[in-house]
Amino acid sequence: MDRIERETSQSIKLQRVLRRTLLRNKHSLFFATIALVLCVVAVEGKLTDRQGRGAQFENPFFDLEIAPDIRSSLR
Amino acid sequence: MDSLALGTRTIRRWRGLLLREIRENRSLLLYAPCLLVLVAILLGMRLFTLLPLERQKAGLELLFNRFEGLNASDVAPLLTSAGALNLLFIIGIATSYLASSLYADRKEQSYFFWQSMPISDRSTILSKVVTAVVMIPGIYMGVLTAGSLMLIIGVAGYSFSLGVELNGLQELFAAMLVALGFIGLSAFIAMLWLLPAVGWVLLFSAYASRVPLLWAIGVLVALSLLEEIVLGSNTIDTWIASRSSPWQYLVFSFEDMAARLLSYDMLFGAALGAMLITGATLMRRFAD
Amino acid sequence: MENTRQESASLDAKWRPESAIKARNLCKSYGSFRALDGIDLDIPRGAICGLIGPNGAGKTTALKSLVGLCDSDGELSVIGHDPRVARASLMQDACFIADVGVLPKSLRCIDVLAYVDDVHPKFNRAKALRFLATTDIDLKKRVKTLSKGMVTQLHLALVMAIDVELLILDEPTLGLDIIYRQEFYDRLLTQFYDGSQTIVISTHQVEEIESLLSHLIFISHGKIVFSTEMEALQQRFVEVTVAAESYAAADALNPIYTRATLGGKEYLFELEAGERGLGDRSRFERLGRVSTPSVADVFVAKLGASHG
Repeated sequence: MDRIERETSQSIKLQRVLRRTLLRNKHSLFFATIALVLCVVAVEGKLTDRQGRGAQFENPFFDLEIAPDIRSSLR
Repeated sequence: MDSLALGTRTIRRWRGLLLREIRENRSLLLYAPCLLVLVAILLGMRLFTLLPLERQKAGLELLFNRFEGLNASDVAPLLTSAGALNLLFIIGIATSYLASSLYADRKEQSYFFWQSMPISDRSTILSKVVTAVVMIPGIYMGVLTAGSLMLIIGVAGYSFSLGVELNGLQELFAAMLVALGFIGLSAFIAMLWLLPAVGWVLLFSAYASRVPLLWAIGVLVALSLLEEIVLGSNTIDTWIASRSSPWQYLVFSFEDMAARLLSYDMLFGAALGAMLITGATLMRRFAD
Repeated sequence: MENTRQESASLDAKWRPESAIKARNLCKSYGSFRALDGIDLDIPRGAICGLIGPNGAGKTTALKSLVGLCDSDGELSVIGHDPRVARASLMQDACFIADVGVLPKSLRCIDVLAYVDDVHPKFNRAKALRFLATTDIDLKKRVKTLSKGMVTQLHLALVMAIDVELLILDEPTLGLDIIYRQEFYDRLLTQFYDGSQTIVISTHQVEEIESLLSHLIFISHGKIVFSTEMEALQQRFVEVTVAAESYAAADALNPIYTRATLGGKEYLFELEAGERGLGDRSRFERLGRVSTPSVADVFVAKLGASHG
């Protein structure tokens, strides 16, 4: 019972802190969201060594040589 | 409330939410696809009929001969790729819809009516996401299918009137249906792949006081430039480029689709999209 | 969600269970401008409460805070819900009519009806159609083709067909012709209110709703200036029409407000706590004709007093 009460009041405290900081107004929420997403993208890029090339997979279903030079530059 | 009543209630609520989106955005969701498909067909027909009659007949003969005896699933990828332009239209319609979805009702003040209904912000935003990812491709494909059927009937009729043998008509028809199916699936996969973009546009739709789409694009470009100038890195550009290959938007088989849905990139994109959509949901409370 | 329900429950314990709206130190700022500056409210169930104040007083902000349409700080419980965290569940039992033009313009009237029917569990479509049959509204037309008065009729018809406990009206008749205005309040009282619902109406045209109200709250510059029950108002204030020869005697009784009229001056007196009730008013009757003051006069007097 004590643990649940502690968790509940901690959660309420967290909500209050969030309301005073991130959810203070639309601008703080906006910047916080963008910042979070950019951080995640940056960290993920570093961890997975993301390359700019789009085609991560070969397409076995498509063999038509319409523009082989474009296809190879995408690979 | 027992679970059956709750389930019925939920279905009715979602029916109300989705019908509202379609009715409020009739011109974008219904009339625009009809216009696009109609214009494309009429333009194609007009350009074709500008050719001399012998060339027309030769072309149609070639078309039907080519398809004679062909397996639909062999040729469908070609037709699917040829239909990739439709994907661009769907993405364009969805983007335009999302940009106004959380902006228009703030501007015309009907926000206060919608918020006086017992619908949570989360349900509201989810209904916009479902409309963009499922309804818009679905409606467009319905219009495209109807248009394509009319086109093929028209082509067959015209060819017959010119004396062309309709040998490969069955195969052409089958290939067209399979291609339409895969264009539809591609559209759905493409919208899921674009969930980060969906979330990004929704965030700006909820936040901006004017021209939300312009802000959405402008801020992205500005951030990318800033990153290059200030930090000397290209994380944003790289990330966008890694998701911009046309082959990532087209689907040619069911196995392809299944693999794509469960791929790491798809799931990571969905997670990012979820973060941005959550931001847009929380933003809704500041719409005064 | 669980945590906020617990939080809400602890708030409820401090106030009377028969209160519909309870607020303590409700604040809302837009940048440096304090739209609500520590509002305390305790509106009982079944009350028809008027929120009176001049333009910019904070009426709209207060009402929107009550239904969670704008964020606010402070303790707030509206029919058992905290609107900041549980707006959707609050709106099952409450309804809000903002300024006239809030119905979605591009939808047809019948589509708006269909939407409310689908999403609101307490909406009675047949009832709404019955209300609408007494108006001139063509349901197949789009909302943007309706006049302002008709939009209000439509909105009111929708709201009256929902079985709500609480109705919040923010200047609902602003900009309407007198016929629509009178019809609005008439319908509200005769076809909707049955004594169990709570209604909160804001207006700066207090004369229009004076006769409907059971409770009164004056608001100015984001603060509550004065609040009372209407019955108590009549017992607490006295208005006397005084002829010129009695001005000096009237002034000596410390009026809280005076106003010039044809044939003399209107003096407004506030009775001490011990004098209230329909007791001895002879000292006022000696000065002139005694009557019950209008809410507008009490409001102007109280507003003037609060500004020193």
